[in-house]
This record gives sequence, structure tokens and C-alpha cells, in this order.
Amino acid sequence: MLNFALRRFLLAALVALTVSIVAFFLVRVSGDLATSLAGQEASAEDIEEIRKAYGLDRPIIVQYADWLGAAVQGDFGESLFFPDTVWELVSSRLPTTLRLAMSGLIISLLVGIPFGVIAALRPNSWIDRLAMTIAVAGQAIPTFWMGLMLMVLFSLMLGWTPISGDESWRHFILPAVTLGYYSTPPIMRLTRSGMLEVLSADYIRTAYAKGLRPMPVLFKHALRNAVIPVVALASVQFGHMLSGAIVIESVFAMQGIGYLAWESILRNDIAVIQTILLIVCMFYVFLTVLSDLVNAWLDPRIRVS
Amino acid sequence: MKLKKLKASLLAAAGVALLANPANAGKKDDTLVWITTFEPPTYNYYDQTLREGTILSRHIWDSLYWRDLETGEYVPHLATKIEYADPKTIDVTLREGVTFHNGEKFDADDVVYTLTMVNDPENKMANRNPVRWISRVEKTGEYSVRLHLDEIFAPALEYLSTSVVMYPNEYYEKVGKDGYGRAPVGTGPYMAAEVVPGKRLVMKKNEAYFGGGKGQAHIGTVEMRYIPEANTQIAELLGGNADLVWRLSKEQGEKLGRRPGVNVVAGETMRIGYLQFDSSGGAGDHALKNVKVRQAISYAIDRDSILKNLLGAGQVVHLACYPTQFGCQSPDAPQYEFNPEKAKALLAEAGYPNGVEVDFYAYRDRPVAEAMMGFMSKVGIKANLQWMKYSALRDKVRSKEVPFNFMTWGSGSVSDVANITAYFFDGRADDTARDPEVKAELDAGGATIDPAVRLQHYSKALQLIAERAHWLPLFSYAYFYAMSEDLEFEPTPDEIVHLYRAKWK
Amino acid sequence: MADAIVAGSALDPARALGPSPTSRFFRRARGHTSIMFGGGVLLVIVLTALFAPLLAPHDPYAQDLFKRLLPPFWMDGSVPEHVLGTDNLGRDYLSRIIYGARVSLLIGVCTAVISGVIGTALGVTAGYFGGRVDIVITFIITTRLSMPIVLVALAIVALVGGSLHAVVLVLGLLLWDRYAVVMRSATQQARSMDYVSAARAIGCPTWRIVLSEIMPNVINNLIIIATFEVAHAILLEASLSFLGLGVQPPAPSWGLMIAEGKEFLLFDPWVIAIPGVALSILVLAVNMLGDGVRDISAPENRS
Repeated sequence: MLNFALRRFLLAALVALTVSIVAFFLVRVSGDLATSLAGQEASAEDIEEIRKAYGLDRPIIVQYADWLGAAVQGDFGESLFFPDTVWELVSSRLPTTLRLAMSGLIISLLVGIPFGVIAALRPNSWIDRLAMTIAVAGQAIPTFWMGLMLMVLFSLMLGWTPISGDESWRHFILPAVTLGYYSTPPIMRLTRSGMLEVLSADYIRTAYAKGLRPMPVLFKHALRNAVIPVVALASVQFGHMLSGAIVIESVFAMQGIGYLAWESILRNDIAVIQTILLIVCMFYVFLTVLSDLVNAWLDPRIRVS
Repeated sequence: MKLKKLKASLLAAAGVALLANPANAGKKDDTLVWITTFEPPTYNYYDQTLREGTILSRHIWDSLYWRDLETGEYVPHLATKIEYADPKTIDVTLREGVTFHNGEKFDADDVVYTLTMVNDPENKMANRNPVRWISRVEKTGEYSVRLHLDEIFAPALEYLSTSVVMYPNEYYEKVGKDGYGRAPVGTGPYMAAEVVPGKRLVMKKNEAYFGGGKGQAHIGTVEMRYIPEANTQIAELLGGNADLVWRLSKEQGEKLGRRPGVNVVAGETMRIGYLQFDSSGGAGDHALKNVKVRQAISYAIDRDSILKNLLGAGQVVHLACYPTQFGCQSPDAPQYEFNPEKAKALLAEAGYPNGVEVDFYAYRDRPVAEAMMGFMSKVGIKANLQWMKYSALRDKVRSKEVPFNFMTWGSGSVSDVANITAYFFDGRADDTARDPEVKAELDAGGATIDPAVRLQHYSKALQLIAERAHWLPLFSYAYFYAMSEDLEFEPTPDEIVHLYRAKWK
Repeated sequence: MADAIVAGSALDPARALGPSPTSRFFRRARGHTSIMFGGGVLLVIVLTALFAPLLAPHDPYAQDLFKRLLPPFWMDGSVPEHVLGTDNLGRDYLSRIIYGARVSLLIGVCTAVISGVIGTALGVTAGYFGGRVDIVITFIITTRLSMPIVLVALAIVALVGGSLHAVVLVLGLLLWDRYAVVMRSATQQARSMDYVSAARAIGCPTWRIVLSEIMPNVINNLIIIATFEVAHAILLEASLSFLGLGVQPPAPSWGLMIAEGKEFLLFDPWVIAIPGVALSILVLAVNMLGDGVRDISAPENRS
């Protein structure tokens, strides 16, 4: 176990290092930092001056080494645009995005898995078809559209939820539903197909034949095996939610790291980008570990390898 | 209203209480809520470059003189007198009895401190541009200062009347750069009352305001809220949580204007769009080095039609500047009216009877760019659009990789040709024309403060630019403002929302 | 525990018997409504894309600024010559939808195929071999997941400019994450089945075990992810186009039309609804087809 944890930790560090190197160079080629820092009406001289003042005229390797050296000691530097340190900026906005993504994921699991099971129990029935149509066709609706439609209906016309902002839990209802909606269909489809496969497997038939009660068979044996890929997918979906949060946060005017990341990428605010990537990458490593552990618990045979 | 009824009945049926919104917008609370897209990264005006920050500079702070928004005249404001001792020395007499929002007295020390502090590269102020031309400030009395310039700077008075604002020296020294950015203090008609990062800035009317050229504010509380998505801004306005939104598109403006309770006005701004040609051939051996091809493009594009149908307001401009800017007149300059036949003929004369293909760069207003491409393709010019973000494009222009590009320029709201024409044709990195004759005229115009001489040189420069088609000036941009019907507000061309002029009806 | 019982059906003795698998597949497909419907719709879209020049009533590039935003036929003020109205620049919306099918199909399918191959290869390898191989691949997957597509897109635009090829490559080389993750865990699960152990015990070569024992068991998951990635890629192309990476104007794509409709969302929702419905139909068809293929190729349906 200790060995396992250590290996995962090393992996995380390696991923973080790779991502930070790649991101650093990508940001550099995607536009001049000094130009975006100086603003749209700056002259060439302003830009040169800023380049010098911020040390952007030094070789890129040196700049990266500088950043890395500080980051290792826990200093993530200062944003080029905001007066705050990157850590203040990111840590003040992280909770909103996490809350959003968590509620989105919970919604999609709560909707996706039961509907997937029902659909598998009655394959090609009207409920299966309906669930599929609603779920799948909606994938073609972009997030901003869905978000604004819900906003117009529930906030503007019905007045049930606030239009925008993130001050209370009520502000999170529509964004979380929007976000969750997009993760539901793959989860639902995978559950359905997994269940279909497992239900026709011999051991389930045997279990039924032996006269075991259907509910325990369904949940203890069938679902347990069917959701293994779903668990893995859910971990990725959570990550996709962080990027889906970009649009949601901008539509609902929420202060999260999704929109901050987007803004920072467009402005080449390198220190902020790096820190957010670092956090995202830690989440992935953690989620991968978590989903592996959950799956090993669901199916002990996976552990043996 | 049907909608309201539906809402009321549904609420009653479901027993759901309508949420109290943090924004209590409207006349009855004497609170004007203005929604805009971007939050300034800091409220320290000289340390940011956002339009929203520039707008705030007119509310929280004051400049020495003030350019009257109706007449365009420069009138006394924080200073009672500004006069040239010689073309490189300016004497300023300050108004007495003005206090900052925190009670600090305004005097010569504040002026010296502000200008010196912002200008010091050590302080890394992101927005040094307004004061860069001032090389040294000298205190000549408790209420008088002298500005020393290294070079003649013609639009000095314009700058001193708009974008050069005064900070309180003692307070700034005490709270520091970042502290000031969180709790700014000025002399202006509004004072910052509450700063909620990422969400809003609440400003209260400065009851002790000295008035000056701006006059007193009318509305008690002004709240600036930040919402990135335009559709959401509109939803907040329709939901009654906002009184003013701006920068809407033509369609959004037109459709919103038909809603009851909403008024929409278009306000022209000093920002103009232009096509910039690499006439010097810095980007390689392309067709646009030939003046006839550049003229062909100028004749091919129906700017009137694009303006009227896509943008909805603003005006077509024919010179490389905004018409009311000082120096923006050139009676002898040619104008390129829409004439596709002539464009084809010029193209044939240039040696491209079967058309020509060239890369075309842009960063905003994609429909406008596409419309121009459509017009060009009709006369046989195939423009391959390269779309990139602003900083990447500007880098490419400066490193001479761009045959022609569609960009916009707002002149930093400075009403002088020096901030646009002289900027792009003076041989520096942004100058893709590299025309020595144009540069000579502009240099001559910038080397004096005599208005008549300046006008004469600028007129000649603008004429050359038009004749040689270094630029195709397109049109000025207008913003559509949508506001609640209770609000009386008139937009101004400086791209600045002067909220202290707004009143309730 | 029941899950220790051999799931023997996948060994599929039926496979070697009867008519060839291909002809049986098609015979079954004909009787399957999902396949007939999904495949039929998809075929229509493909044909539309192929014969766009013959089908489109107008030149999709011809703009007329005086005829902007004419509404579609079911609304007041529509004109008969533009059945689905006109766009922001006065171009015929129906013709742009027809031509847009080309780009969108191309992007959706190419991306799903490229990323499907990459993701499946990585996922199956990691899941099957485990150990160090798994660690290396997990490293690649996690690195990819932590890398924002926007950042890559902007860098590529600044370096080489945008084009259709660029967007297909970028999306294809980046969107394999969900395949890899799902295939990895599905393979882990399949690998621990007794029949795989049995095959290994009798000395079957690895490639044969993977192809004939593992793949049939994980292919369902592959199809499901692929159907979602088609829509994902088409919509993502739109946002990348806005950053300059995707199709270059005036070429239309459904994703781009949807993204451009954003400005008109509140007051002229049809601008976004028309390409949105087209895309929904495409996605639904792909899903039904995928579902049907799954149904008739799944081991449990073969006997």
C-alpha cells in the first residue's frame, strides 16, 4: 500500500512537471506576454518597457527555472493582471468551481445510473427510447444555450432562481443542472450497456434460477459489475466538468477557476495558468487513484493483477 | 403585463418566495446598477489598462482641466489655470479648497507625487501612457506646479483634461499600490464605498464635491456589476436587476428597444475600424505592395452597407482618424466610394486581371471581416482569413508578417490625431507603411504647439495616407446602450460612460 | 460470490458455425429498427454532404447585406426563396446547413476515428498488461487530461494558423481521454475473466487474446464513447473556430453556425435552433446506429 501510494505520488509529480513545461512553452508561442499585459492601446515602447520590468526579456529557460524554483517552495508567483498573488486568486475561486462540479457530477450520477438500469431492464421499451432521445439529442445543444434557456425559463419567467451570481446555494441550482446534464448521457449509456451485458451473463441467470430475490441480484451482483467502466468515466467527467465550468461560470457570472483559467489563457497570464493546471492535474491523479480503488473494491479480481 | 401575471400566479401557486437580489436596482432606491463585461484587475487606475478602469477614472478622480463634453473646450477643473511658459514648460495653478474623499487636502504635493510616482519605471505601473510625456514635475508653491517636458508634446492640454488624474499622496503612501487598488480614494464626483472582488463596485455620491467642469452627480448610488456574458446582462436588465447595459450588438439593441420599460440608444465612439496594409512590403513580396491593389480593395468594399446593416450606428470615416479629433481634416484627400467596376479595372491595371489571393488577419467582429471578404471576392480578391487573438496578431504585425489586417483603435479616448495617425505612421513598430514623406509631415506637426501649423502638416499627412492607400479607414464604432425607462442618460463619443451625468426621469 | 462464476457466453462457440459473420450481421441489421432508422438518417446526411452542390438552392457563400436574418418559413416575414431564412450576412441558411454537413461530418467522424484508435490502443494496453505499462500510460492519460485544449489551440493558431486539417488533427490527437480511461478499466475487468486466463494458460499469443477475447468484450464501451465524441468534436470545433483554429470563413460548419447564433439567442432563437436541430439529429442517428450495432454484435445476442 505504501509502495502504491509512493508510486502514485511520483506519478503525480512527474505529470505536474510535464504539464507545467508544456504549458509554459505553449503560452509563450501563443502570443507575446508583454503585449497582452500592456493592453490594446499600448505603444511598442510601453511593451518593451514592460518586457524589461517583468523580466520577460530573459531566455525562456531561465524564466521557467525561476518559476519552477519558486513553485517548489510553495510560491506560485503573482498574477500579471491582478494585484493579488496567484495563490490568493486561485484559492478564493476554487471552492465555487468545486461546488459546481461536485453538484454536477452528483446530479449526473443520480440521474444517469438509475435511468441506465431501468433502460437495461426494459431494453427498447418506450422509456428506454425516451431516455435515450432526451439524453442524446441534448448533447448537440451547446452548454451556453442550455444554460441561458434554463435561465430565461426558471429565473426570468418563473422567478424561482436568481438570474446570475454565486452568493447562495440557490444560485448553484441552474448551473449544476446544466453541467450535470452533459455528463448524464455517457454515464446512462454505459450503465445501460453494462447492465444488458451482465444481466444476460450466466451467473446472473444462475442466480435467478436458484430463486434469489431479484432486487439483491440486481444490485449486489449485476450493477456492481456493470458500473466499473462508469466509475472510470465519472472520474474523467469530473475533469471535463472543470472545463465545462468555463462556459457555465461565464453565463451565470460565477467567480470560479474555470473562467479565471479561460481569461488567463487569453491574456497569457502564465503564473495563473500554471497554478490552475497544477491543481487540475492533482485532481486527476487523485481521481484516477480513487476510481482504481473503487473498481478494485467492486471487482476483487482486478486487484489481483 | 402578461409575464408579470404569469410570474405572480406561479409564485402564489408554488408558494415560492421571490429571492431578494443583492442588486436593488432602480429609481426608488436611487441606485443605478450598470452591468459591464470586465472587472478591472485593480482599482488603481494607473496600474491597469482596461476600458472599465478608464471609465472609473472620470468618476473617482479628477484631471487638472476638463474637456467639456458638449463644446469640446478645455475648462478649469482641479487647476484654475494652465499655461505654457515655453513649448516645453507648463505652469499649473491649482484650485484651493478641494479635498479628497478621505478628507486629505488637495495641493501641489499630490500632483508632484502622482506624476512622479506613476512615471517611475521602478513602480511598474501598467498604464504609464497618460503621463509618460511629462519628464519632471516641480512644486512652485503650495498650489502651483511646473511641468517640464523633454520634447514638445502637442496634445498636452487634452491629456491634462482627460486621462491624467490626481491621487492623494499621503493616503497612497500609507496603503501602497495594492492597498490603493482595493480602496481607491480620489477627489471625484463619486467615491468608492464597497469593493467586492469579481462581483461589483459600489460608489456613493460625493456630497462635498467641488463641481468644477464636471458638475455635481445626480444619482445617490452607482453600482458597477461584472457579468461576462451579454445574454445574461440582458436577462438581468429584463429581470429588473440592472438599469444600464452597454456594448450590445445592433440586433440585441433593436430587439431590446421594442420591449416595454427599456430604452435603447446608440452612442458613437471615437474607436474606428481600419484596414492596415503592409505597403512597405515588410511581410514579403505580396500584391499589396502595389498601390493599385490597395486602392482596388478600397473601392471594392461597401463600407456604408456594412455599417448600416451589420453595425447599425456610427459613421463611415475617410481619413485615418476620428472626425472630431484635433487635426483630423484634409480637404484634398481622396475618398474611396464603393465602386466594384473601378476596383476590377485597378486590379487589371496592377497586373492581376484574373484576381489575386492574399492573407487577411483579424481579431474581432468576425461578421464584419467576413462581409469585407465577400465584397473583395466579388472583384476577384481572395482574402484568406487568419483569425487570432489580439496579442498574437499585434506581435505578427510588428514582426512584419502580415500583408493586411483589420483592426480597431480607440485613441485612448484622446481627441487628437497625435494619438492615432502619428501613432501608426511615425516609423515605429506599428508603422507598416514606412512612408518617409508621411513621417516627415507628422514629425513636423508634432514638433510645435501652434494649432495652425499642426493642422497644416496633419492635413498633408492624412492626404498622403489616403492617396497612397496605406490604410483604409472603415467606420467609427457605436455602442448600443439599453437602459430602464426611468433613466436619463446620454452616451458620449469618448467611449466613456459618464454616470455622474445620468439622472432619474 | 456470483461474479466468480464464469461468464462463459463470450467464448461464443456459435461464432464458428453457420453462415459467415458478416452476412449474419447484415441479416440481423435489416430487422433492427434502431439500425434501420439510425443508419437511414445517417445515410441521408452523408448523401447531403456528398451532393451538396446539387442540393443547395443557393450559393452558400453569396452574401446580401440587405437580406440579413430573414426568418425561416414558419415565421412571419419569411420569403419563399429562403426556406430556412438567411444568416447574419444574408446568406441562404438552408444552403449553409447543407454545405455545413460536409465539414461537421468530416470533423466528427475523423476525430472520433483518430482519437478512438489512440484511446483504445492506450486503454487496452494499459488494462491488459498492467504494472509498469499501466503506469506509463496512466501518466500519458493524466498529462493529456490536465492539458487544456484551448491553450494548445491558441498556440497552434499563432504558430501555423488555422485550417480544417489543423482542427481535425488537434481534436483527434487530444480527444482520446475518455476512450482510454473507459477502455482501460473495461479491459482490466475483461482480463480477469477466467476464459482469458484459460487462453493465456494454453499459450495463446497476446495479440490473439486481445483481438479475439478482450476486444469483443470492450467494444460496446468503445461504441458508446465514440458516439458521444462525434457530437463533442463537432461542438468543440465551433469554439476553436472562434479562436481561429477551425474552418476558415466563409466555409460553413454546423458548430460554427451554432456558435455564431449565440448573439441572437434571446431574440431570434431560430438562428441557433436550426443548426442545433441538425446536429441533434446527426447525434441521435449515430447513437441509434451505435446502439443497434451493439445489440446485434453483443455476445449475448449471438446464440
